Order: sequence, then C-alpha cells, then structure tokens
Amino acid sequence: MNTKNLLYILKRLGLALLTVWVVITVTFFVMHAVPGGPFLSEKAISESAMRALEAKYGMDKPLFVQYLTYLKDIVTKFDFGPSLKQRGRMVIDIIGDGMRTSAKLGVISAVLALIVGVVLGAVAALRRNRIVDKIIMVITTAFVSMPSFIMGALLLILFVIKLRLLPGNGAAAGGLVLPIITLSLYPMAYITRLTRSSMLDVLGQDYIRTARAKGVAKGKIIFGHAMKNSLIPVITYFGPMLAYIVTGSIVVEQIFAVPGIGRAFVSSIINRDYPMIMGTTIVLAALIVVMNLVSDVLYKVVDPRIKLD
Amino acid sequence: MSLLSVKDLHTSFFTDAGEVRAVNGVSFELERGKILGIVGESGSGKSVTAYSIMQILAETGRIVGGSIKLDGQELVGAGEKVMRTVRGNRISIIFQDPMTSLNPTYTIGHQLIEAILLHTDRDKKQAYDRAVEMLRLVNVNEPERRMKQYPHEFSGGMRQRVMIAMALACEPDILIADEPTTALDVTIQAQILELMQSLHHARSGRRGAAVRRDHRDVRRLHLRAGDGGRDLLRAPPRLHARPAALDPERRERRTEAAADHGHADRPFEHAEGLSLCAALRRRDEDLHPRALRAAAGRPNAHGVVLAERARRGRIRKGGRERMSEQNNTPLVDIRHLKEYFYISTGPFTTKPLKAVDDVSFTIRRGETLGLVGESGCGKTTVGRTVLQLYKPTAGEIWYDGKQIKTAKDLKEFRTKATMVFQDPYSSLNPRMTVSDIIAEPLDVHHLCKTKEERRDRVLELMQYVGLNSEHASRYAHEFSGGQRQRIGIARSLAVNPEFIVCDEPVSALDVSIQAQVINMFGDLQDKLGLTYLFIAHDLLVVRHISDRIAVMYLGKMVELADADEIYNHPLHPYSRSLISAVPVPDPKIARANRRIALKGDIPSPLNAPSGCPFRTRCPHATEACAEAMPELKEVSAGHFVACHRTAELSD
Repeated sequence: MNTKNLLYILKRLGLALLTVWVVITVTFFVMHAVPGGPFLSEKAISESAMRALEAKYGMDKPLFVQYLTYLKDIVTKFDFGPSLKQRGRMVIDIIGDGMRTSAKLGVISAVLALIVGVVLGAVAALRRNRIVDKIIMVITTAFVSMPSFIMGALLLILFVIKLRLLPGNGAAAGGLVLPIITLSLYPMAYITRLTRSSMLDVLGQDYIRTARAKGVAKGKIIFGHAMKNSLIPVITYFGPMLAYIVTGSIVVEQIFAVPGIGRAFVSSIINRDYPMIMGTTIVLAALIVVMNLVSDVLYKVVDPRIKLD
Repeated sequence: MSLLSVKDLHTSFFTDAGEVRAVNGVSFELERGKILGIVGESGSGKSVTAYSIMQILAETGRIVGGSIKLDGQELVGAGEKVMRTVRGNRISIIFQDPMTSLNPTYTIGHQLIEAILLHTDRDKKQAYDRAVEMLRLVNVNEPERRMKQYPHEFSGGMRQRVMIAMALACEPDILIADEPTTALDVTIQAQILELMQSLHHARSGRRGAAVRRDHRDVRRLHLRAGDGGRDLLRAPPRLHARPAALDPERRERRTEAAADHGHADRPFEHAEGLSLCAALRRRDEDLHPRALRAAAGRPNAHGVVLAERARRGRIRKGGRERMSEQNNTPLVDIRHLKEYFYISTGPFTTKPLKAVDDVSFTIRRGETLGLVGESGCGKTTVGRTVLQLYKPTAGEIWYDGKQIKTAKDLKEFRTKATMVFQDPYSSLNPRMTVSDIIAEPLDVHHLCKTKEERRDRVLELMQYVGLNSEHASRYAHEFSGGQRQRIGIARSLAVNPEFIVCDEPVSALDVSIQAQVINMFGDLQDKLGLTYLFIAHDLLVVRHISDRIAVMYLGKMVELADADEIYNHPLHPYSRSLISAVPVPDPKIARANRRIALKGDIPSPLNAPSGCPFRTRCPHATEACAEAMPELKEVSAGHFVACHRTAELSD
C-alpha cells in the first residue's frame, strides 16, 4: 500500500461518512413524518402523561432541534440515546448484543458461501458438461431463484417439524445452523455459477496456453494461473453479497427468531422506537458502505490493472 | 538425423458439429540450426500444426495420426509427463498476440522465473538473475525495474520481447514462432524480426519454425503453404530468401536445403499457394510462366490480375486519366482539421488527446489518396472527421467548392460521401438481411419511391460487388469475411456517392481475399468514377490503389506525395523506415534495401513530444527538432514533407 492507495481509502471513508449522514437525515425526517408515535397504544394515556413522556425524551422541541441534538450526541458522545420500549436500556447496548449474534450468523454464512461456491464452481468448470457439472448447475439454478423466506420456511418444515433434527428457535443451542444455511444458499449458488463461467472463460485465455507451453503442470495452472484471474468477478460480487447478507438476515432472523440486530430492527419499526430505528439503520448502512469499500480494495489486490482513483 | 521430424500428421477437433480435420497429413523435417517457414491463410492449419507439436491443443483437439519425433524420440502418445519436460524446455513457442499471452495478474518477473524454475536446477536467486539476463538479451531497458511490473504496463512490442525472453530462458532446441509479429505495428514488427534474426544469428545452434500467415516476412526460408491442412506449395527458398545481410555460408545452406526438396525448378504446385505469392508480387519476371498458367481461371487468380495491373500502372494511370477529364479543382478540401478528445485525468481535470492536429489536404475528383500510419496516428479519426461522424474541434471541410457548415449541408453531403468500415464482422447488423443492410442508406435518404425500385437497386448493387443476388434475403453471418466486406461496399455505394472513405477495408481479410477486394475497389473506381480516401496501415495495399499517399504520425501529416515518388524517394525519416519495413518478396530488391528499424515505441498521443512528434524515435533528430514542429513544406512539385532536416537528409 503506497500513499496513493492510502489517500484513496481516506477519500472513500470520507464519502462513506457523507453517505451515512444522508441516511441519518432522510431516515430521521421520514420516520417522524409517518403517522403514529412511540407512546400511542390501545390503552390511551392521559394528555399530561403524554406530554411528560415527550418532555423526558426531548420530543417536545421542534423537529429540527431534535435532529441537531441527535446528531450532536452521536458525533460528540457516540450516544444513540435510550430505547423507548425496552425500559432502562440504551440503544447502543441493545445493538451490541444483537450484533454479537448477527455477526456470527453473517460471517459464517459469507465464509461458507465463498468457500463452497468457489470450490463447486471450479469443479463444475473442470468437469464441464459432465454429470457433476449438470447436477451442480440444476441445484444452483434452483437456489438462485428461490427467495430466502421460502427457503427458510421449507427448511423449517423439513428439519424442525418433519425430521426433528434441529431446533427452530435461533436462541437455542445449534439454533444458528438453519439460519446460516438459509442465508448462505443464495450467495453460494450465485458464486458457484460466477466462478464456473469465469473459470471457463479464463481457461480459454491465451495466457493459459502460454503456461501450458512453458510446461507448467495442470494442477498448478488451475490453482495458480487460472484461479487468481477467475476470482476477479467473484470479488466484485463481494460487496453486493455482504449487502444481501445484511438485508437477508433481517428476514431470516425473523423466521428463526434469532435474537440479532435484524430482528431488533424489525421490532423497533413496529414499535416506533425512534432511537432504536435510527441506531439500527445507521449500523446497517455503515456496514454496507464499509463492506463495499473493502470489496473495492480487494479488487485492486487481485487485479493489478485496476487503479484506485 | 533431423532434430524434428513430423510425418503424416493428422490433427482433428471433435466438436458438436462433428470432426473437423484441421491438419491432414503434414510432413516436414527440421534440422538443427535451420529456420523453417510455414505459411498459409487463416484456417489452413499452421497454428494447429505448431500446437500439435507442443501438444497444447484445445480440449476438443486431438492428434489422430502420424508421428512427431524430437531427436528420434516419439512425442505422439508420449503422455503429459514427458510433454511437460519438452514444453518450454526443448521446444518453446512465441504466440501471435502478445497482448493476451501473458497472465495479467502476475508480474513479468514471476512469469519468467516460473519458466526457469520449472526446467532448470537453479534456485530462486539464480533464476531471478537469469530472468534479468534474458530481459537484457531481448533489449528491455532497466530489466530490474521491469521485472516487478505487470503485463499491462508493457506495450505490445515489449510484451512480445518478454515472450521471446521467456521462450528462450531454458535454452530450447526449437523455437516455434506463431505469427509473432502479426498483431504488431509495422515499425515494431521490424524491431521484433530484427531481434529474432540477431538471436538466431548469435546462437547458430538455435533453430526454429516460423509460422506466418503473410509470407512477405517469411523471406527467411519458405517451405510450404497449408490449405485445409494439406501441403500445397513447396517453393525453394531462392524466391523468398531473406535479405542479404547474412553470411554467405548461410545462403549456401539454404540453397542446399532447396535442392534437398527437389522442387527448385517447380516453385508452384498449386494455384492456392500461388495466389498468395502473386497477390504480393510486384514484378512479373518473378512469376514463373508455369505458375501463371496454373493460376489462370482459378478463383484465386485475382492476385495475378492485381499484380499485372499494378505492374502496368493501370490503376494509377487510370486515375490520372480520370482526373484529367475533370478540371483540376479539388473535390474534397480539408483545411487545418483538428480533432481533440478530452480525457479525464482527475475529478475536475481533463487533458486533450490530439488525435488529429492541424491536418490539411485535398483530393481531386477521381483521385485516390492513400493515408497510412501506425495505430494511434489518427488516420481513422481523419476519415471519420472528414465525414463528420465526429464533429471537428476546428478546421474547415470543403466539398465540391462548398463548405460543409449547416445540418442541411451535412445531410446533402452524406448522400455524396460514404464510408466503408474496417471490420466486416461487426459493422453489419446481425439482425438485418443483406438486402435491408444495403438498402438502409436508400431508406434513410428516401431515395426509392417504390418497393420494386428499392429491390432492383439492391440487386444492381449486389451485382456491382460480385455478390450472388439470390443471397439478398440471407443474414450477414452466413457470409465469409470477404463477402461481408462486399456487402459493406455495396451499402456504401447505395446512395450513388462520389466520394468514399475506405477505413482499412481489407486489413481484417486474408491476403488473397485482400487482393480481390482491392481489385474491386479499382474496378468500381473505373466504372463509377469514384474518389477515394483510402486508409490503411499496410503500405503495400495503399501503393496498389493510390494516386497519392499521405503519411501520418501522432496526429500530424509528415509527408504527402505521389505514390511512386514516396516509394522511390521517401524524404521524411518516418516514411523511410515505414517503406523499408515493407517486405519485398524479391531477394534482389530486398538485398538492396536495408530495413531501418526504429527505436522505441510510439509515444502516447496524450503525452506527445514537444516540437516534431517523431523526434524521440528519429535517427536524425537534433536539438532544434524539440523546439518547433516543422511545417509541411513543398520540396518538389507535389511532394510535401514536414521535417527540419529535409535538405541535409535528401542527399
């Protein structure tokens, strides 16, 4: 990494901050524009109690002042405020707890998808048009075209209700197995197909012929010369994949009742837990922005022709 | 015993459509220290022969018969393990396209060292030293720095040098060169050929087979032409001997080799092979009478016709006649044409790429102006800007005494001036029938009132260009490259134009097809009184068809003169080197012309040198050349040169 690349990364981080600020602003005002509020419930509370609550959380001030206060707290104290629904807990703590589970789910799913996808893709490419290739292609086509909520429901019926092999509750021991499988199947299938086609493309390139003409052994050609080149498109998919995993986990955590940030996000919206909505949105947005940056930098590492600027 | 002996080699590809026999019984012997040339048109099986020897055929290809013996050891059926010790070690190969033959994700050093470590006992440090030594041998400057770079940081010529270094790193017995210069620019071709000659010379133990499509460069030693994988032509090296700069002993060896083959008195055995030679031959005394007879009536005899026409100067004289019928006012008058493209160099900064920088010329009615130069010199941009496919950055375009200014002028201009494009494969819409493609200009300009009129016009146009009118309802992919270019020409003729810009119309075609198509341009000019701006990088092609020739370098016009004048007395150092790089099939002439190999690569037009753009590569450059761009001055009647040192150099 020379100074030019470092500058690039700093520039991108600056842009990432800008993106997150835009997300904060838009979410904040849209959230308040939506009818309803955190203290409305079937059980009507008195006018004075409502006013007291609003005063306590600073919601009696004009919206723009609230917005400025919120930004100031984040920037100066990294304070996301208290949760309005889970009494006595700070948003940052709830997110921290949720992240622990969600990170496990997301990282394992991503690694699984990458490893299995690349290996299956390479196998399919090297056994092109044979039976192994055809089986892989049929299965991956099915996985690519199936949304995760259907996949999750099917797995739930099969493994939890029929076979009774795995728990259906994400918080139980081994409860993350099914969510991980559900979450990784789509990117895994996608990476398999991507690796297969780019591997086939690379194997037909002139420089592979050059390597053969040099007398390089077949295995070394595939894992040395071909693999590095065929991973380039896979790495460009890295960013979108992580974005998928982040958003996908929202659905999957809901299906399997995983106590993660995705579920916290959904319930905070249902509850109109304003500080909680803001907190989860910021974290998810920051995650996606940073992951895209990581994927762009990785791209440069694998392909020397790419200039970061 | 010969070093390499190929007997009755058969190689086939097994595709979904069935077996494709690419090589059909080829036999040859290659002796230590000799050079063997293999020529033939694309699809004739040259490269497949080479890949068969190395056994690096594509997955679907297989050697189905015959024998390949290296020093007596049979290679066919020897297995991967044996072949891996042969490849890169005893037999090496340089490929056609250096741009794609190096792995883009590894450094040059890594790729060189890999080859050395595979076949020698050297450790990593020694392999590194050897790699640096090899780069130095093929004249790569600063080899230590270059080792750390990736292929995309090298130009085409430099990459081909790296390929050569890689091929020679393990001291192979045989070097196969598979069209090693086809993908390169003319002056870079000259450098690479020179390098290969000197390497061969320096190590007389080295031997090689050169595979070339275009046999002008196989003056070295020409053995056979392939067609559908059969040997067709065995010509003695006498006809195609390389230029004399070599020692007499070598010449003797060549003559012996010719005698061995026993064909010295029968240079041509097949018209297919003949058309290749004839298409390129400029002097009819080179043509064996027997060969002429053999060629008569054959479909590929056009080449002979071309040679004949060129010899008698019919094309050129025809041009003069055509011109003298008209008054001498120019039909096309281009004044100070500039075309800049703005390339972004940062978020807020752009830099002009001066593709065409102040170019002026005129073309008289009925004349053909040839425009030559290497890639990136701006010749194609000139063609497109003249027709205003690009809006000129500055300058005036006058046509038939009127300046093209308004949209109305332009619309009218477009019915008189059309274009033939370089690539007949991508310039025809695959979703349209031939008749729709040809009729499109008619439709655009509403030139046909009725359907019958449109159909008759299409059939007439197809007849002009020698296409079977029954094929009007077919699609472009059903035609060969030469036929597609005829479709493109028919399209350009549809509006009955006076002026046609031909942008490298034959460079994508095989040599013998090139001759047919060029001939057709000549015939159409005679018949229809057309005026051409003929753009090409191939000087031989331009010479056949042009009345005058202009040479461009980095967006500037450096020389402009009559075709004969520029060939016989080129004045600009760049024109001289270009013309010296034109291979001459006749050894008598070739011996007299020493090839002038230019140093270095063509600079990027983004960072053109100050003053004279050619000074960085010019053998005669002085300090004055860096200061000012020389003007295009008339040195003798009709001969313009832009060089500060014309006066001193012309003696």
